[in-house]
Amino acid sequence: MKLYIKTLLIILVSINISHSNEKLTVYTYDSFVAEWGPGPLLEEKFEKECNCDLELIGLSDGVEILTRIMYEGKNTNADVVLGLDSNLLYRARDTNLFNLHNIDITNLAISNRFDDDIFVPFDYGYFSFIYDSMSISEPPKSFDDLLQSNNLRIIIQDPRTSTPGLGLLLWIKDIYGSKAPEVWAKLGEKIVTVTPGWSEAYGLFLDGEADMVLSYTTSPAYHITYENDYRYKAAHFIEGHYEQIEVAAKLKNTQNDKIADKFLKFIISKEAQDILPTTQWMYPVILEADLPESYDQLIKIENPLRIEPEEIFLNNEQWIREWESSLSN
Amino acid sequence: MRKYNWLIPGLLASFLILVIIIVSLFGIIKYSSFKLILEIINDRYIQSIIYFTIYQSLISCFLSILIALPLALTIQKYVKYRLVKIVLSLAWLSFISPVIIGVFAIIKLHGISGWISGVSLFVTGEKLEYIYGFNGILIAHIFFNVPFALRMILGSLNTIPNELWRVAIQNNLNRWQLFKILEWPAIRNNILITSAIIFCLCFTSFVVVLILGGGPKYSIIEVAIYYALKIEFNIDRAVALGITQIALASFLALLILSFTKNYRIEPYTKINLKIPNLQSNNYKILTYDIFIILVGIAVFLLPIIALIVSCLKVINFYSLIGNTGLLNSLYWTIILGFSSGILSVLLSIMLLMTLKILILKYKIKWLAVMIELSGNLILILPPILLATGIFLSLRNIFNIQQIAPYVIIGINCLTTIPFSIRILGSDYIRISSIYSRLFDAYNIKGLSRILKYEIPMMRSSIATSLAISVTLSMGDLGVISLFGSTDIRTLPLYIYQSLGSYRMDNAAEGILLLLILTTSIIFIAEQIFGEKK
Amino acid sequence: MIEIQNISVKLDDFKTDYSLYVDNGEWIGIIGQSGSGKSTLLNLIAGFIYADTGSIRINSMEINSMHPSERPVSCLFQENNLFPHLSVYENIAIGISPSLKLNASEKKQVQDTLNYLNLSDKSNSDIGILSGGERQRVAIGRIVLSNKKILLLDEPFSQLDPNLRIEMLNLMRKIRDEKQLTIIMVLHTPVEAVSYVDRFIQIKNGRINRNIKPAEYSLEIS
Repeated sequence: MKLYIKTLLIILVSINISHSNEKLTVYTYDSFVAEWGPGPLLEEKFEKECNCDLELIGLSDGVEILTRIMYEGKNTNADVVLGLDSNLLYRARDTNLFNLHNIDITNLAISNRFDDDIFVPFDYGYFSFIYDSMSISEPPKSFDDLLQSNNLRIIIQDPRTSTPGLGLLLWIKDIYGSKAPEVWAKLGEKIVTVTPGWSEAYGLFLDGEADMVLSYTTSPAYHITYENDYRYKAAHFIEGHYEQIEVAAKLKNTQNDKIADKFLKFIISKEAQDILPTTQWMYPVILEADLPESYDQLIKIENPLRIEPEEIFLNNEQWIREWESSLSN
Repeated sequence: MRKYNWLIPGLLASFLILVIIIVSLFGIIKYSSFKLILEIINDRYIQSIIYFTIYQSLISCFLSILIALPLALTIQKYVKYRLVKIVLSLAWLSFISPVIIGVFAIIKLHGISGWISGVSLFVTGEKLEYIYGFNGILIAHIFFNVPFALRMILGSLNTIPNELWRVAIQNNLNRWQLFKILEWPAIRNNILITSAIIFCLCFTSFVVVLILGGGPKYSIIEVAIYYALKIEFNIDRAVALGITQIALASFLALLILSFTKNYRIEPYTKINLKIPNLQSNNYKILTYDIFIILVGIAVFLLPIIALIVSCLKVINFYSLIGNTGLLNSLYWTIILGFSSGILSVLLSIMLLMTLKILILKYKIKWLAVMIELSGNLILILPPILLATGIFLSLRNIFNIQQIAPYVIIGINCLTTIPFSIRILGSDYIRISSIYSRLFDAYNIKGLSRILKYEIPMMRSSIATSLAISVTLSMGDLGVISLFGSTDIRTLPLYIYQSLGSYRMDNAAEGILLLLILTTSIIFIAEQIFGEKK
Repeated sequence: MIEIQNISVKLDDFKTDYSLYVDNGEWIGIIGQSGSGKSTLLNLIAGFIYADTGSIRINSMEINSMHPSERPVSCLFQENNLFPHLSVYENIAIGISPSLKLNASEKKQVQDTLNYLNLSDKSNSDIGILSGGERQRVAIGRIVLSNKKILLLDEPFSQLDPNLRIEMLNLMRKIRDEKQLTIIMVLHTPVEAVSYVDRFIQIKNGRINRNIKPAEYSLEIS
């Protein structure tokens, strides 16, 4: 067995070496590079196109990508990063480590609300609460509804350690502004627990530990596509849904500027974008990309909410403190 | 010079351990600021976190011992039975299971949709919600630590010589007097040392506090370090918090240890487990014993059984075949786990080789304490900060991707050394004290004494410590997710990635495979290697 | 008197079958090869092992199913007779009061025993600093105090040097005479005990092979 895997690895490595002249190193997160993620397919397609070696390095999560780049500074091995959260862009830009992308991103699905000369968006989604329609027949129709409900129990993520957690914090901030602390205090009564990351929260929800979990409007598509299970649905809130955009960028210090440019273009090409909806379970940024049928079942978000990265950067710590104290009583 | 040869192994092992820690310190030392530390400890919010960190660790540690103690006192009577031995081996599973898997196991049993709640729903029509909050933190810490405390206490009870049991029984000591006069003095020191270790483990138990704590109401210093390091990118603050944590943890752990006593004890020559007439046909005592053992099983085995059952429900047997990702993870789990486990036991034996001579022959207490401390230092260091420090110092010299496996092996080895030392220590010192005159008489020394005599005699404790270090390393998720590269993926990482991509069936496969792997290792070590005479 | 009739217990490699009759005040020395079942006999009398069949009667009272603490028997082992964390005084006091809470008369008894065994200056000492002979004297003190009439000794002095062994045997003789004890003693070096014991019994394969008078024994080995 060991021998088999070893030889397999050696063969894989040698194939890569023999076919490639140049190497592009991309920092991304774990689930992107997993065998069921988009990583392997994208790698295959891109390597064929550029005749180069694409190395995808999966870090523990999206936050870790930026942290790692900041720690490594100018000596980083990365040529490109893939999977930064739009909420972190101000800080990312502030590092002065990223370069302009020179790509036209004005014709994307989200161009009416996102434009940037450094960061290239490659997928996006909306936060929402997912529920099991078999046990909840009348889901809340708004945040107010959720706050008023008597017995709904929810699981959320910690904004101090996860991006969806931060997303919810910003979502509530955007809707309620200075009243956010009161909303959190009220929401606190519904919260079963606050997990460090999305994975634990969603796992606990599927185990039946809560009625709803903070996730994405696209989550039900996974269950429909892979499990033919239509029971999980996203609750549609009339106040609107907070948007998360995932972006890629190239590093200033890259030795492979041309390939990096090529990769950024590739990531928003139809070829790459077609893969994302059924691997990332996020919306593709180009309108021409194929969407599986399961996406027809999802709720449609008209006017997504978003707070400017600069405002997030300036208030982050204070908002977190506010969150902590509202939930600590 | 030859006279001091015995110092070499211990000092070398200490040095190797300290190198890793110093490398880490080197990476973060420039960020440390005394002013910031003062600022932090004057911050009311941080003060409340510090208070809770200490509070929950003390209570968790106290309860773990409180449950392990009666369990050990009861189980010692039955250890000769095969079934009890098997239960004791299985108990290790909760100690070595990766935190995230342990927490899921606890929720399968105690959660709102867990087994106990299910029974309640059936009987009273109401679900139970008690696991999220302070209770949950305690239940989890008890789950993770009782088996360790249990084994440590049993080990000490084991050192009570048979003759003393007989003297005690002949003089008609009642149960309380037996405990006070015979058992407590034998286990006292080990209970305190074990408490200090459990205390340190709970001090940094960040995932448990976050998932089961139910919200930011319960937060510990480690969460603040994580936040400062990863979200705020404020290394200065993280380091200041880290130093505060180290100072507190070491102060409190040393405080606990200061209650240990030194008795001059005759070397025991006969250790056997046949405790005369402790087994009683008395119906009441038997009922109590069975009750206590069942409580123990409920604490550390039932959650794992609940987890296995729920994994079996979602697993897809067809997809298992040809799941190369899973098999590849299994391969790396075995490679990394065994490497760091074997290294850990080797370093521990080296430390003990020097320690036992210092303790038994020269009685140089301060050096013995220093050497033992070097092996245990890792317990008070904040894991995230340690890893970040290593990362920061090594990244300019090496390509982190290339040396990742060695770093992972090194750190995991370090984390398991305190447990290896505990499991091996008393056995090694006991054997040395009994046979040292014999060895000297026949001029058996150096390597051949270790390899041909001492190690074979310690066979069963080496088997256990190896199994525990290997399986503990296999369960690591923290270090591997910081340093792992795309090619290196262990089962815990596979499980976590599956959870992160909606793939509950894959996660279940990973969990079952990891459980089968670790159970087999512990079983082979304890029930086969450990048993042969 | 002790009457032992066909007590048997199944051990790993053989089955014992002992029959033995001991008068009150008699001093018996047990000899035999190691593994022959010498200690087993003592364990059966003390109750650390229960016999499967047969009977043990002490002064006509059947004790075979009695708990060790109820039998009029006390033991002295080769080592590990003392609780390492208790003082000399406490180790002796356990013989009359396991709770270590003594009334005035009990305190006096302990003090008398200490004096009797020349241990009064070591009363508060730590066990760890005692010599091998002193330790065994402390253990004997406890036995004396517990006031049980039958004494079972399992090679109690084999770790001491020869002169000390003789000294301890003299002490045992003095105690036996004054307290009228019956002694059954497993011997490591029987020849030294020739002038002390009333008779030897030889054990072989879990059975009492034969009785030997001390004089015969001296002849046999010379």
